[in-house]
Amino acid sequence: MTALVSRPEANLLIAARAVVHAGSRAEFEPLLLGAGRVPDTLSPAAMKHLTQTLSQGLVLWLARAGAAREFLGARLWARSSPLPLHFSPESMRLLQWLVSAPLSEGQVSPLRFGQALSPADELLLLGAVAAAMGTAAERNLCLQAPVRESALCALAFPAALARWAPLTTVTTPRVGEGQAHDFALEALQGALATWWQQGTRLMARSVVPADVAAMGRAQRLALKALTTAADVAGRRALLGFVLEATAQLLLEAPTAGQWVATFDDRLPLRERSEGRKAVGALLQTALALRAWDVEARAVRFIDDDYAEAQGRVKLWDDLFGEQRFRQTEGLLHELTALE
Amino acid sequence: MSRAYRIAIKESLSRHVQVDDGVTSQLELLPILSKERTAELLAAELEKKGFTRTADTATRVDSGGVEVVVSLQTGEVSITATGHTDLDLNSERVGVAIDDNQPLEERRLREQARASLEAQAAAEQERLRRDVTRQLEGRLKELRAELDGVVNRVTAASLKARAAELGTIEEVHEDPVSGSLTIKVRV
Repeated sequence: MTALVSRPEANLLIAARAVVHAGSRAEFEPLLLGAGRVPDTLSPAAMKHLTQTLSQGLVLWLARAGAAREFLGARLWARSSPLPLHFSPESMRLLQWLVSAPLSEGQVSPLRFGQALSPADELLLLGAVAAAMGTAAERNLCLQAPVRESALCALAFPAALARWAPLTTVTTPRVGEGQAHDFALEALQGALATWWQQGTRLMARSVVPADVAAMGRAQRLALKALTTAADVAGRRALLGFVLEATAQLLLEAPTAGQWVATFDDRLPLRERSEGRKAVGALLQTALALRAWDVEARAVRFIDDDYAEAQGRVKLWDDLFGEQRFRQTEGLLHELTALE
Repeated sequence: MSRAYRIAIKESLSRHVQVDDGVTSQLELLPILSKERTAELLAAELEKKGFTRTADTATRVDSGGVEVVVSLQTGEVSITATGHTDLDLNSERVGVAIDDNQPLEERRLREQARASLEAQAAAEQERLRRDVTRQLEGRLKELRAELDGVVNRVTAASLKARAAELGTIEEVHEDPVSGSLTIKVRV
């Protein structure tokens, strides 16, 4: 179906498609970097397209990001109550800001929301950050207060957020049955694994140990917040992306030297050592999950959470297994050794 | 008619500079015995290596001022090197002043001289810090091997103690080359 929309309306639709990962990045990037025109009001045709793009596009994105995977013999939609996707006016505000603010420039008008974001709004914000990664707009997006305060954004991109400004606190994700982030985090497992690989590769390329240390601290904070919340809520499976990301990184970078750049040997040993340790944030969490894995194996079939525990044992075995836990241990030892 | 004057100023800087560098690491102590008993075994092994025990830490200051502190409870090792020096720096500046701008010119030269002294002091401090870092790097390899040896002996002692708890030790075979330890226990 083809409908005629104005140029400013088309700008908004291109942005909407890009943030739900359904559009062309080449078409979106000039809009993201420059100051595009946005419509004052939307025609019925444009409104219909926007609604369709956001609702269907977001569901499709989540399905591709990991929601379509089976766990305990069923897909996420079949196991949990689906996430109610209600887009508030803040979603429109975000799209307008993405199009109208010249995000490649040094100073831009800050992104501000008038009310708390709904889960769907926050997913859209996450999609916007993901779409801006690696572009000249990354810095400006990562510096926005709503991005830095978003539990999802901080969990997905801690290293990138810390790259542009220190990230000293992170919002704890709300996990547990019916909680805002629960469904989204499970659906995003595959995407989280990919983003964490990218974040860790970014750290491995950084030659300034203080930068690496700042990124590592942010990663540690983000993982600690999720680990604690997931443990309390009995949702340990939400940490699966850590093993998925680590498994892939261990394949491509099996030695400590591939996880961290060679720092200038004129720098203080303290700084260089902190930098080396910081790249191990992901590895440390992966290793800590070994204890959860051992506990899951000890759950008896008469216990209430037997099925979930067995499902997690199988999933983590497929993803990781004892051999990789040992490899992780060895790598961490190398990164923290006296040298 | 304006007159030109040659003015010369001298500034000096005396400062005591202290720099340090250090690293921390973790001893890989296996949880064979309780933390308290492992700490006792670790303290005993470290004392043999010249460490002094004070409460929950064991400390040794090596030649060259490299300090090694081991936390007996957590196994955290902190190695620090420190360097000191007394700086005595001088800077001289010469300029030309014309009549009534003499105080201004003098102040400008003085500021230049002070900035130069600060830059020299920073460079000296950095040079000292690099010396300290090099000194620390030189010691690390040796210390790592020494501490690995300590950990191996603590592990062996822990295993023997644990074996003795399980039954009667009939035979202990230690291979000093491979570091392997075989304990035969009758339970």
